[in-house]
Amino acid sequence: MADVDTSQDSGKKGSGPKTKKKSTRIDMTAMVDVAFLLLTFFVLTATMTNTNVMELTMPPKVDESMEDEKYKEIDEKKIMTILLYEKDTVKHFVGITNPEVKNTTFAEGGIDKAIRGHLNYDRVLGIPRCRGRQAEGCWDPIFLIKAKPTSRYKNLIDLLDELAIEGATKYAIDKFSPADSIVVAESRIKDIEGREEDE
Amino acid sequence: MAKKPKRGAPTIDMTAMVDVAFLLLTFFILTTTRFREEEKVEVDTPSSVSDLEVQDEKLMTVSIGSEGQVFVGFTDISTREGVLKLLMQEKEKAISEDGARYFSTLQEFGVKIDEIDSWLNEEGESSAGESFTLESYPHEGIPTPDPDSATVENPNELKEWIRWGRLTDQRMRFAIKGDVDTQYEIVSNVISSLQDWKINQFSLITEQEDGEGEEEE
Repeated sequence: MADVDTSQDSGKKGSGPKTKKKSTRIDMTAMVDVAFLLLTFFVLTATMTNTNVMELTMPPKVDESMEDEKYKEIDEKKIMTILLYEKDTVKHFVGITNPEVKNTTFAEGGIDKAIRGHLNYDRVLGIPRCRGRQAEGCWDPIFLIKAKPTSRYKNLIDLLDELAIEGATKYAIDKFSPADSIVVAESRIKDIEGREEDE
Repeated sequence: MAKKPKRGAPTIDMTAMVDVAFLLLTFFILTTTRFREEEKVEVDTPSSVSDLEVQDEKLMTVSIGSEGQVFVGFTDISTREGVLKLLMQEKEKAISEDGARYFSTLQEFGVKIDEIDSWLNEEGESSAGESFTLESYPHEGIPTPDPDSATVENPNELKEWIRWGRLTDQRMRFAIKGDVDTQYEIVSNVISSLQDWKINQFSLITEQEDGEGEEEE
């Protein structure tokens, strides 16, 4: 292949006491192969760890006494609560009083579809989406994220990511409260009762 | 046999190419291994579609390992020196010059405040009585219980580090680097610790996802 020593052949014909001219050339092919292989490997691993950041703004901490007043001014239909559970499961419901809790996953057509549905609920209601500073008589959905202490961090990032992809701008992360567990439990009971009535 | 075709393969001088290849190779080997050494805790960051780049200046990173160990790092060497000085003043600890120099080279650390002096003064004795060098001292993570339920016996030391970082530089920004398998509880404790100092805006460090909207599952 490349860099093969060709000087030796020419020296053969005039054989005799002439000292052979030895070439100093080295076959570098194998070395180049290895060098580029390693180079490719390191280039790939170096670019793989491309770190980025997500900006997160939390609402300021509120006193316990103000807890009930937090959502007072907002139409509860605008709030979609997303609960993160263990083993990558997620529940979501709209509103606060007697909501219908739905189970879903992070697979495509799961939570992303639910978020999109809530975002585009303005079409069902027939009212316009809020633009700019307008706040009355328009639709501006709010997402409330509540993660169980035992849920994985990856799910939280996935969810924030999903909200960013769908273009949801208003969301907040809140503590998972006992009240949320009650809502989920009540909904489950209602679900079972409803099924029994059907039968 | 008048005109013999050229015998043998055509030769290419590969010297220059080899030079460039090895130069690049050396560069990539050095940069990748350097990153690995600096990290005290291995963190597998989750991926996101965010394309905001990390601003490396005046940044305090809180890394959380998969087991919930909390590590703290400051990007600027001057901040590391300033933070250590504050710690020495407030906790009335004496730290040798060598120890302080070593501390200012650390990208991350996770040693309890009470053990800082025994770690950095090279006496090298952990609480268990075993001897260690500066490098091999075990970093067990900074205790980070929920700041609302922290007690004197079980203090939230992360809050102290945040305060020292903030005191050293008013424009200090904060980033959380969590592992995919970290339990949310500890992340919530870290966020809560930041919020106790009225830091409501911070960054979450993620890894860039290849395709837009494509999940790896």
